[in-house]
Amino acid sequence: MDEKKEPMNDNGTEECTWRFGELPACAPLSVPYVPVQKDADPRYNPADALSRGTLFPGLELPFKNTVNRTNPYAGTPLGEVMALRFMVNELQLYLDTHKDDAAAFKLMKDTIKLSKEANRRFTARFGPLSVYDLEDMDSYAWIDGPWPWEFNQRGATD
Amino acid sequence: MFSYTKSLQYPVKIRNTNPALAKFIISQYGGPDGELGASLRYLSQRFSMPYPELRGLLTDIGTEGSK
Repeated sequence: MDEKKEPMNDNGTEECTWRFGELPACAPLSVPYVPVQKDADPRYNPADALSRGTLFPGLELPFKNTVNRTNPYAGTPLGEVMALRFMVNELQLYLDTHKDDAAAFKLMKDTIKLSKEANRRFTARFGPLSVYDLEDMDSYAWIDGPWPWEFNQRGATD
Repeated sequence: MFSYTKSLQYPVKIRNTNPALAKFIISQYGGPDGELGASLRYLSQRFSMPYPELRGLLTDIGTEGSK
């Protein structure tokens, strides 16, 4: 039995049979599956992870092979905070489904520590990133600019 | 359940303004099939999610998506 295509329907167009779907051309049905990430290794360093949009090379699917090389904060105190926080975010999502990975959890705790130190370095020079940073400040600097959408004013060169 | 920091996850630098392109981009964020709608769906689905690791994941992804 040829299941590929019905000869023709009344309208003179081809019809897909039960084994096929429309893509819009007839295509065989399939069963989708999502493989689960096995391990937190290998990893990018924090700055590369931020540029590439993922900490894990195994999960990286760059659109048309494009890689971001334009982080104007790379190497600045804010860039350091951003990269370390991104790494904490990535490890958080990984650990949600891999809570018994002790090495990854240790790495997360170390990264949290580094990000707190980087945060202290940044806020001492440029003001608070969170209201909780106000603890050590002399005045209520929360409403002082720049806000995140006001570019170009925080030690970035570009 | 909501707190924010005065920094972006990744810096955005607009060199040339382009309202036509901006329309596409804002619809990808707040439009009918946009990220904001997706993030709110994650944040609703988590309430009935029986598995703790996925309850956490939906909360974390939903939070990511809306920022």
